[in-house]
Amino acid sequence: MSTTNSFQPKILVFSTDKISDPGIDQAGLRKIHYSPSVYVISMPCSSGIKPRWIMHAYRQGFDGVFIAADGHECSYSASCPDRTNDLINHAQSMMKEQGINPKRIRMAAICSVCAEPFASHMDNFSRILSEIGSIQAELNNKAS
Amino acid sequence: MKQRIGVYICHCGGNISDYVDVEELGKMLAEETGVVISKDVMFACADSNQKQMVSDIEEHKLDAIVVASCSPKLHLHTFRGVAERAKLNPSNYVQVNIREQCSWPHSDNKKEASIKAVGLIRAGIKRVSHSESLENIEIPVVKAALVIGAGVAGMRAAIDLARMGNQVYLIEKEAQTGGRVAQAGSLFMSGQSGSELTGRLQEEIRRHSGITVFTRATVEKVSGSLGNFHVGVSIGTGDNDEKLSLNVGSVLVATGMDSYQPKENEYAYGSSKRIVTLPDFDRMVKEQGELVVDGKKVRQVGFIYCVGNRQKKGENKYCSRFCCSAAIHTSLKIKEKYGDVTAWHLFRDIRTYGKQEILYEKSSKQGDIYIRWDEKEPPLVEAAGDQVLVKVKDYLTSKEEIEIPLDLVVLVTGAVAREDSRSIADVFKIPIGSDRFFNEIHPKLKPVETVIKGVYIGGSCQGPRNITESVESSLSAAAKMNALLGGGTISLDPVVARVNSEACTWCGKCAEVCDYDAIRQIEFQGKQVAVVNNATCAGCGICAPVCPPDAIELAQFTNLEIESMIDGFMEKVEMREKQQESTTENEEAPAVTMKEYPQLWKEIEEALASGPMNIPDLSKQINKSSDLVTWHLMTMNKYGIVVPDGMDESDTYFNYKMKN
Amino acid sequence: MARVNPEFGKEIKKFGANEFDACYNCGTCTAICSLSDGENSFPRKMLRYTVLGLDGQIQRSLDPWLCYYCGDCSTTCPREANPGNLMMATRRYLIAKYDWTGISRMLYTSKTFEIVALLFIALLVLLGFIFFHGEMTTELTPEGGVKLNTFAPWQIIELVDWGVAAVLSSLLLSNVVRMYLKIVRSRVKEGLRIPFKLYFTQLPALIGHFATQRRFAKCHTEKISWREKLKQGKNTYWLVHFLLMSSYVMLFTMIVGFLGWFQTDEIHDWWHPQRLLGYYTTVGLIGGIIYFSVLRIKKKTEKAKHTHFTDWTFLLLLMLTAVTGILVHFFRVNGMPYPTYIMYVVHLMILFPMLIIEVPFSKWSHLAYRPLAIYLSLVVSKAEKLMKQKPAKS
Repeated sequence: MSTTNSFQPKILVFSTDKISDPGIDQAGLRKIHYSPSVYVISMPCSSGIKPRWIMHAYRQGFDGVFIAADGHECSYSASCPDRTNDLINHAQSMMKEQGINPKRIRMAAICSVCAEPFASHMDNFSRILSEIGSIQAELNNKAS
Repeated sequence: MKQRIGVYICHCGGNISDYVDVEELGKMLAEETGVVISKDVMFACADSNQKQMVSDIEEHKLDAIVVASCSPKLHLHTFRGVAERAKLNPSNYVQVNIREQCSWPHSDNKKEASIKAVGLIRAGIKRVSHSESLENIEIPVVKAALVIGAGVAGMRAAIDLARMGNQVYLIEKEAQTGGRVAQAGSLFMSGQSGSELTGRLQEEIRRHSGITVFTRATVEKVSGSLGNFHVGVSIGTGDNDEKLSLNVGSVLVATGMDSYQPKENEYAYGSSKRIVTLPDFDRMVKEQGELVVDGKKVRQVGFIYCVGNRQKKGENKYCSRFCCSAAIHTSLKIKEKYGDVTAWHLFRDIRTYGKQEILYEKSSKQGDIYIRWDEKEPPLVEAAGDQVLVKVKDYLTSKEEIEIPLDLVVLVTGAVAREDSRSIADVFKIPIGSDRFFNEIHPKLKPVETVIKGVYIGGSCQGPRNITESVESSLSAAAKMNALLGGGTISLDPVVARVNSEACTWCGKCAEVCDYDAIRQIEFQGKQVAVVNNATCAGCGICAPVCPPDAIELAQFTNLEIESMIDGFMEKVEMREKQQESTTENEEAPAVTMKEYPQLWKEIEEALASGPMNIPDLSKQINKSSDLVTWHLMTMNKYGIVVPDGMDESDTYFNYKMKN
Repeated sequence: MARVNPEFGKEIKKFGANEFDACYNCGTCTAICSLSDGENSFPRKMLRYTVLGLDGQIQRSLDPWLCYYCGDCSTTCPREANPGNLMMATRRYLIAKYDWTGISRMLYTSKTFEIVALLFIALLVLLGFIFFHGEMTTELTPEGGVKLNTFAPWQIIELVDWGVAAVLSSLLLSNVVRMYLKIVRSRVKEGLRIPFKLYFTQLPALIGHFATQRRFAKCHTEKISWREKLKQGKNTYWLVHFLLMSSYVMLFTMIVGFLGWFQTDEIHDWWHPQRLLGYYTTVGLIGGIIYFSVLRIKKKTEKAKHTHFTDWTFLLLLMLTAVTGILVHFFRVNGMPYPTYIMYVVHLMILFPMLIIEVPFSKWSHLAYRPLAIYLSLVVSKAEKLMKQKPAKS
């Protein structure tokens, strides 16, 4: 596979308005580089992410989905970490049905100053996704 | 679907355009479905551009706009304002962050940065094309407040609320107002007595016609929501209870705390009259002219700190943070009042933060003895005749175990949540923590708000705090409440959850996960469905993912909007390669070419051609506001077009000149 | 388990320590003190014992005697708790504790008692002379000197000297034994075994320190030569102290042991050892006294800042002794009989009270306790080291 080297996994990040998005902004502000194939959608709270959106992302060609959660800092609900966990579990069971590697979804708490942690999460996740390979191949396999 | 979309892509004076081919993007995105105009602009936030946007919206009859510039944290409100001025609903505007999340982190890869920017803006265009015009939710408000608990925090908040013209009901469970502070002895730092302080507040409340006080009163039930609560109150004791219903727009819970009561035999408590708690001791000091226990003059007093607090294994893991200062204040007080008394402070850590440090400084200088112990090896207390023997290991003399013969041992007890905190929480549905204190929404960002909109918490019901801090929090709650009650109506953010009643089959899962009690079950066209109370919904969206038939969604975060964004990210991008010719031209040309200059740069350049000039003179010369001139001049400075040229004659401003 | 004495703070204040309770245990004093090492935190440990009232620990401690009061701890103390002065006060307290008669404690804690005691002994001396003096002849010796030995025959004075010396040394010795017991017995009780041999092998240290007070050198730990230190004045204090101390010891030895040689009617030539010695000791005493008095008046160095009333008494008595001694000499060689006799009586009225009060009960007893403490600390630390090498079989 000659394309492996140039394969740059596409990552969809769900962040949160008040906490993790400022953290991601700070990575930019400090010119900490991460893969340019990372796209961010900001939500009020990570527990409001629908698993169907995650599945939609895979179908559209995203190789991985990363949830930058608030963890216990969430200003909406103390149960936020549990709820977010639940929806990830739900998404993973849907992924399993579709033959999608469960490693393609990840969650971490990103705080409002977590610039370096965010960048290193992106680097790690990119590496892991590179090892797994493109989502297209996986979906094609399932189809065939 | 929006059909007339305007797209504005910002250079940010090079912050974006140095890495993203903004010009090319402007041209490319003009071809997107629904886009009427697409422009690259030097500074999207500049006054001139804002004006241009307003006239664009009016002229081209735009029904939605996308601004691709910096993070929404910076200019979201700027462009919402632009939309409003152009009579466009602000929810038909989408901000795309191509600076903090594109040009800057990918400054190492200009080509990829440009491609990503296209994806981000396309997603924004798609999202805005599905946007709805949302109106703020208006709710009528009853201009009355209920304050529960007439301690220092509650009384102080009631007075402020009344001063600001609100009808205030102040209810107190006990027969007297004043709470715990009214019974306290000398207070740190002022040294005045507790009753002096509460007396002043009581006097002020009596004088104020806007405050109605009910004592021996408890809250029985609460119905309604933000702006219109109905609170059932029961007054009196026993059989002749008087029931009463109060209609208020907002509620402040300031029910306070309890003082920790040592368990039987905790530090030998209860085994001798010579082992007392700090509140008990303070009362002794307040009342006794001579410090005597059982006919024997007290000369050696030991204070054991952190009793019932900071328990690694026990229930109360927190530090009550006022007790160190209180104990040290008392030890200063006894020295002052009784003279020949030695105070032994057996502490774990001294936390006399802020100005209270002065107390510690005074005490340690006057010869109070401080001995530190660790939770693993607490002091052993044993009553022996007319003495109390305390054994403790002194860490400062290589853990020498010492025995101190004392006349009196004071257990420095901290705060615990009220015994009845759970029942108060149940009535209002305020969440309580594992420490049984009431929980705010967010300790830093929303420190007096509860998840129940319109219900606030203040004072020590929320956690241990001293009088100053209690009053601070209750006053901040009072200010919030006044802002709510002041206008007669409240305008709420329209980003709330919505139920598709057709699809809903009422399983109750959404109501179950909602922390704000905002979802109820109602009958709709012969079936049971969920309905959202707009007044109480916080807009977190937690209910959306749990709905099995996908019948509930958050405004602005609908399936259509989010999924179209994902589509936008992934659409193929074909960047037109720049022509070879222009590349070589670029290498020879200065970093910024003339055509990118805004008109203002040319004017500045012309003005400076006649010689160096400072910013005030420059702004006079070209007849532009000095902040605008500053902004552009600094950008020109950054690109090396102009340079500073020493101070002006008055030695106040820098002169600037053209570089060459 | 050590029981604290809550009244100890008040007790030590009577001995001249007033600021220690401002201490908040930062440890700056320990960091600056040249005596502290990994195992012993000088002088903070003493301060902590004092704050807590662990008087038992203080009484068995050698630390106060090992400190020669350079004063660095007091100048650097952020709380002005004055650890150096506390160590000084602790030494006074210990002197009082070693003394079984209780006289010492009274001397230190009551000015009145000290003055009355001094006057009382002076009165005894006066009465002794009134009733037992020899013939007050105006006849002069062939050289024209006063016949002092007729008025006060040296044989009799020497007998009295011996008697007084015997009493004083037995008092001092008994106090020294008490010091030894306080220090060694508590340690032995805790299991320390001190091989008998150590008492002999460490003996040179006792003698050496007694003779030279070289411990003062620890107050200045800069790595410069002895001569350089002297040049910079860093050894001046030691030098003056040495002069004073050697003068005093020589005088004492001559008076008690060789009075017949020292107190003669014959006027020797100026170069005669008797006269040279007399002059040396007089210069040593008077010079030393002036030096120390000026220090204490100027209060420039830390150790001179806090003068207890017993310190002044000591300096004053010593000064008067020296001055009257030289006056006796002057009157005698110039053939002035009555002034000589009177001055001689005055001289002894000062000398005896000073010896009797200061040597066993007050400041001068440090001449025994200081070297002994160094000696015992060596013995104890060597014994501890041996114990560590060969752990006791239990």
